[in-house]
Amino acid sequence: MKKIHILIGVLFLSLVSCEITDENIDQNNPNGASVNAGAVYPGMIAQTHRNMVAINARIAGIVAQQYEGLDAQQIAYDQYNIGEDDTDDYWDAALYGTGAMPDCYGIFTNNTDEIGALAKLYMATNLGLATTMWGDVPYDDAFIGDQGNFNPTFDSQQDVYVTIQRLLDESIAAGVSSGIGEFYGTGSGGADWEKTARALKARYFIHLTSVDNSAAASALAQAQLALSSTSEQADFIYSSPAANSNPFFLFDNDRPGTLGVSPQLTSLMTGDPRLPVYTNVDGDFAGAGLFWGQADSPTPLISYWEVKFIEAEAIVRTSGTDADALAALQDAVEANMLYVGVSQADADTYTAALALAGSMDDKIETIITEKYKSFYGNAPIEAWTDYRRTKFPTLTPNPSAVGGVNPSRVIPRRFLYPISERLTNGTNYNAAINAQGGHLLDNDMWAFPTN
Amino acid sequence: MKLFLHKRLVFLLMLVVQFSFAQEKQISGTVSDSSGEVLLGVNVLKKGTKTGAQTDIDGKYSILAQDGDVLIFSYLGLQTKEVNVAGEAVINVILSDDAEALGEVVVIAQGIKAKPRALGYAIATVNSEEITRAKEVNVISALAGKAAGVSVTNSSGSVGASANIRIRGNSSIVGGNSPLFIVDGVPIDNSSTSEADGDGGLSGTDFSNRAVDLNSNDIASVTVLKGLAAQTLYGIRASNGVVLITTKKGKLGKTTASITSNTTFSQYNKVPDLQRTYSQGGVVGGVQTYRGPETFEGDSWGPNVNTLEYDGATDYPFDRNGRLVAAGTGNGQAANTYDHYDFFKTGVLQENNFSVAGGNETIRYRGSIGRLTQDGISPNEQFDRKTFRADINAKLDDKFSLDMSGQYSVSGGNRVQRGSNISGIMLGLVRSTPTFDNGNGLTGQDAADNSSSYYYDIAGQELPGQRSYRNGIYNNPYFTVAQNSNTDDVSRFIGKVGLNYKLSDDIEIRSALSVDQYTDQRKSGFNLLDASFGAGRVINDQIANADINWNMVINGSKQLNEDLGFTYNVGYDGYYTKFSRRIQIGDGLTIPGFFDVSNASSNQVRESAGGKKLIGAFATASFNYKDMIYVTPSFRNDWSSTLPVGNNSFQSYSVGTSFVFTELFEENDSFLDYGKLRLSYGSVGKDAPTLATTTVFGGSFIGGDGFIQGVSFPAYDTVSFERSGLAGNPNLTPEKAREFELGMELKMFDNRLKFDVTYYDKLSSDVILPVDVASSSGFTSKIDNAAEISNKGVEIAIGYTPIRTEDFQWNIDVNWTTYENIVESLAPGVEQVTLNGFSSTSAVAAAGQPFSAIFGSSFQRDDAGNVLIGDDGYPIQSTENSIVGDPTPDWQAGISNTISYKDFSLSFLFDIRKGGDVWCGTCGILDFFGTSTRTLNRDQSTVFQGTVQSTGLPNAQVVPYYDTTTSENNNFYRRYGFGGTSESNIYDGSWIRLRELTVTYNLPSKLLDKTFFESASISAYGRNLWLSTDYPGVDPETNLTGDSNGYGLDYFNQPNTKSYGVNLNLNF
Repeated sequence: MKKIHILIGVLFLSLVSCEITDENIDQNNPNGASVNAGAVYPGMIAQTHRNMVAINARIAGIVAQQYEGLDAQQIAYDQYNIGEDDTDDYWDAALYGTGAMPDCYGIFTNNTDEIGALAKLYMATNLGLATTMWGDVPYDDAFIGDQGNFNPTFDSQQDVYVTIQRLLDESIAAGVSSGIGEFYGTGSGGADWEKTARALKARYFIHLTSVDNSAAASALAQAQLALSSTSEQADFIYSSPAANSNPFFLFDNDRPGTLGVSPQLTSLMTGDPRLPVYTNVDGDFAGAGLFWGQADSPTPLISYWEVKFIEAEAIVRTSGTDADALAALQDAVEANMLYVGVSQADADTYTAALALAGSMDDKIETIITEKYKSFYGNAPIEAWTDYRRTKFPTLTPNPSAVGGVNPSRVIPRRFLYPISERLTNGTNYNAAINAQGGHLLDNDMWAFPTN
Repeated sequence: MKLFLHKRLVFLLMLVVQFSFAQEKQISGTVSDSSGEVLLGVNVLKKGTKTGAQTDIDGKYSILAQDGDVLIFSYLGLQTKEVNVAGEAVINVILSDDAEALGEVVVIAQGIKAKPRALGYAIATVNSEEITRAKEVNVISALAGKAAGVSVTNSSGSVGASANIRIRGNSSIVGGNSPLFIVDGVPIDNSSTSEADGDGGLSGTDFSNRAVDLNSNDIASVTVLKGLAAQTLYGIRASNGVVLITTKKGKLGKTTASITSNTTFSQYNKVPDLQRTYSQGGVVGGVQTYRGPETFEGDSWGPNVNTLEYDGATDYPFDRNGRLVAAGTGNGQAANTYDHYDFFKTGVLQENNFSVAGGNETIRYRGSIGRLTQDGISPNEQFDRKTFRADINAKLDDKFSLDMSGQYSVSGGNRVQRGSNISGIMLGLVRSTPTFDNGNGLTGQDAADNSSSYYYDIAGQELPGQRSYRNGIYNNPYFTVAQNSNTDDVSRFIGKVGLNYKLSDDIEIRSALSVDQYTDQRKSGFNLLDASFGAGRVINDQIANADINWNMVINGSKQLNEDLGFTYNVGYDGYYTKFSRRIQIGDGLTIPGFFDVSNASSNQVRESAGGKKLIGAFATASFNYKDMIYVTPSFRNDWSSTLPVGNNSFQSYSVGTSFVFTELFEENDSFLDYGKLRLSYGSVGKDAPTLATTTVFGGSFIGGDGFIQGVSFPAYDTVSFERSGLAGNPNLTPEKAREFELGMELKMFDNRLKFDVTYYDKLSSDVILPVDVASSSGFTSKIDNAAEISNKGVEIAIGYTPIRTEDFQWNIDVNWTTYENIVESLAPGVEQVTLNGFSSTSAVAAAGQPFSAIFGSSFQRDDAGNVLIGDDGYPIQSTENSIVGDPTPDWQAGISNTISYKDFSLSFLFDIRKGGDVWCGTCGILDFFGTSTRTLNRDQSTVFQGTVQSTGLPNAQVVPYYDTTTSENNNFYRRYGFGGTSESNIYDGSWIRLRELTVTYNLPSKLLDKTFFESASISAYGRNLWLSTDYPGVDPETNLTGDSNGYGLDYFNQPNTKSYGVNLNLNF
């Protein structure tokens, strides 16, 4: 019996001899100090290319009438019922928040040399997406929540365009040509990053043709230093499983029957040799034989054809010769056609028929309308931007449009700021809205006044 | 009326004094209960011997004993009593179930026992009979409507679906609001783990909360500790209340065995009404046109069904009668419409329990086995549970005693997909157009068992097509249940070893070590052709959790003088929990229906793990003056590993007082038998969630598009990391909650009327939550001490016995609860925090608003609150989302009646909820697709009430609900986005329901005399047999996000059920 008592006594004691240790270390997730740039680049790049063609890009494609909403939320977008809670995920999880921009910021803040150069290029691209959708957006004050600033101010759109050019200049200067950090999905790349940076500079200069008289000249200068073939462009190549596939393909997979190719685009492209690889009789955008709707369809960061379209427009705007402009236009269309699998002969026939004539406006209409066709499947946001900037191609607003967030029922000029900023950053949000005279869909932003 | 309680206390029995002889003699007597009814089968045992007897049908016993012997009288459910033999030959005994009259004790925190009169706060107790009456699978569901201050919401009628329990509303956010569950002193895990690729329960399947592993038949009683003062001794884990479960134990005396067996049938109780007038289709070229399944189109905005007929084609895969064509162009056979709800079948539940219990002077024991199998109302839906439990209490010697208990359970089943999920049952079912026959001529299980209902052959192709009303865009519900599977398999062990040491007559040391460990192995399979994962997907998900608890408590008592005494308890406890999860997702199956990773062409693997340690020390004392005034101060200190090192200690304290004012009265002068006032104040600290103090990096997730799947790295043959969107906070401090509680208890008219009222006022401050931050800061949220949440309420319980005679007894118990649960403030600059839900409609915590307010879109209004109407005659949608609903009920009540007459008893429970909004997301979507009965007004015109925005005048413009001249989108139900405005789909979730109805017949002992059975009963019972509500969707007792902090959301939830069955109980 005594033994039992001793045993029990020991048991009691063993229960009380317990210290609290630090159990609170995450075993599955590293802390910031141990994460190098190479560990962040792939996700950042994958996110950025997805941003070109996912959610808000689809909505841009719908309002620019490359696509048509057939069901559920896509019908609402087609009716311009695009509220503060429709475009917020893109802001919160594609650009800012857990999106690509904080990744870029982290990389180039920790790596000022060529290791961070590519992150600056990608930052410029994402910032460009943000400002074309929302106008004034946070940048100078952004991404430093870890230093305690959870309420960034919004930079004016004009300043944002300056920042974009500065980031691209710094990227080139820091040696982006080294390509450190590059990642092409599962494909293998041959991208010329310096020329890509020039191409992006050209894009963000040409955006400002309505508000900056030197924009076309600046764009032209950069375009001529930029990509010289589609093989130099930075394509992201998607792969399997479905989640890792091209976002258009994936949308058709996950939300079948809700989105189709707009009859507007189909009728605009009647007889175009690209039409059979763009869509089919059912109006599908993904499926057998459709170039931009395959699991592994690529998404370029910026395409060679875009560069040549910018060049053509800039030549026209800077009063260059029609022949030079036409040559650039033909190069652009040809490059796009060959890329999507049109035969050289069909491309030649098509480009030979192109002509620039009439007023400057007429020539720009021709160029932008061709650009619009080439942007299908790869740059819907730029197509929407060009429409807002140039009013081309000519589009008729949806007769089933509803009021609410778009009282005048025009083709939207911008997106509403996301609900997340309203609820968490109210002061700066309201300041930005006031500075721009509103943020409903029919409010023009600084860079794209209604012509 | 006399106040003779004290006499009873002193004179426990009625003695007939006689001369005594020091020799054994025959002692006899009658044993009855406090109502005077004689008791059959009472065990009478001579203490320290194996000599025993039992009472007969007349309550009489006889036994040989001598003076100085002690007789022990025991009977299940009544107070065991010891009587000294002192010469008398007749000993009549009254065994009481009246706790207060005989000074019965209740177990409160940390195994400490107290007299109810000593408690300074409200508790609620639900007994075994009440719990098992309606044969709920989940013990939490069985508490619904039975205790004031306790709210229970079953998430749906899916088998094994979680039930959400809240005591006095919500006081925390990430800390959770579910109470602590304690079984015989062992804290157990009641978490529910959402799906591997979880979105907070918006899609996927209903999973169980882990209290489902408990077998209600093992439970003797459930005591709910509601206030902070009651919870102080458990510290932080108890800050949402405590559910103390006491299991049945062996009793002294003969070994008894019990068998219960029941069979329950269930059916859906309420579903949204669907129209059967208009066909699939829309507007083509300005004409309403039928568009069949082959068009992939989902709308039912087509022409009237009576304008269509079949063409008789035999090769048409979507209908055996052929295609639908305009009347006059086919074979003359009119178009059919179908009742889509014939998908659901009658579910069957079978449960068998066997238990053995008994004991002698040194050992008491009970063992039980339970087996439950349940087929749900959806085909192939299934849940099984097996439980094994053993309890042993042994006296090792005069000083030591040992408590051991162990429970092993295996539970799990096959769940069905629901919610926001194109592979879910309800989504495909209620969107189905009236003219499509999902079952292809069959219904229920038969259709699920026959692949011709959901497959059709495609020539020249190995794989078939999926036969659904949108040609595979949404799953045919039969495909969902037949071809996909979601199984879970939980093995769980809960064990305890406790050792008690009696230091002296006044001081006892008790210690215990317990473990609660489970593994949950889940496997989901989506077959080829599934709407969501057409290439097929298999998910293996392994969850393991282990909780270890240990404690030591010293209990003592001291009587200082005649009037003043005290009891004290000093203790220490610890808690360690460890969680791990491994998820493997395989995509791209080759062999159809073979859900194994070897059959997947690509695989992703993820793992997560976490742990937490808590140590606490506590002390409490209860001072007692003349059994009239009690004062109980308590104190506890906790140390938690989740708080920043160096700042991880925090305190809880409380003071409770009780004043039994009837002690002051003279014996004869009052109708009051017992009256007590109580007052308490408590403050409890609460720690942080795990891993909240630092910001980490995780595998990159490529998202931002809620319509499509995101990419989880590793992907594209490479790894990648990104910083978490959640900023950690190294400066977190513990949450605090303080509560003031005031109450009164009265018993009157010879205890026939009992009344208990409580008012409480609770304020939680420094509540830790991930505060949404501007994502432009590079984060989407930060962990912070940010919220203040208040909770005030009144709870009333009334018990009344209108009739109490030997043969006939009628008891009425009413409980009534109301509370106001407000988010008082959030961090500066933060307007609200999303708790759960969708981008378009969500449950939020917003400053100044009720907890879990519903937030979403609405119509624009003028200052007077009139809806603004556009020049086109339709209401204008608001540009900003706002609060549109409050899911907190105005009040809830349970009214329970128990009537017993001789061998029959009848009980029924009405459950009433007044108010409480529910967002019927389902309704808005059905309106959008044109399948709801509400859209039958599509051929009508209306004038929308409101003010014309441009003129300021009342609207008078007549507009059609559905303008068929341009597009089906020119339609009131399709103008405000997918599913309409959130405001349009907010409905009052009030209900009155007959929650339980039970009729029991106890077989008379005359019948049993010749058998070896001691007692037997048979009962018939029903659950939810009647429901009255104006809510248009499924039963408003529903919650999409299950056991989470977001309430009031209904989006293609599985319907709830009504059930009825028969139970047989045999004791021998």
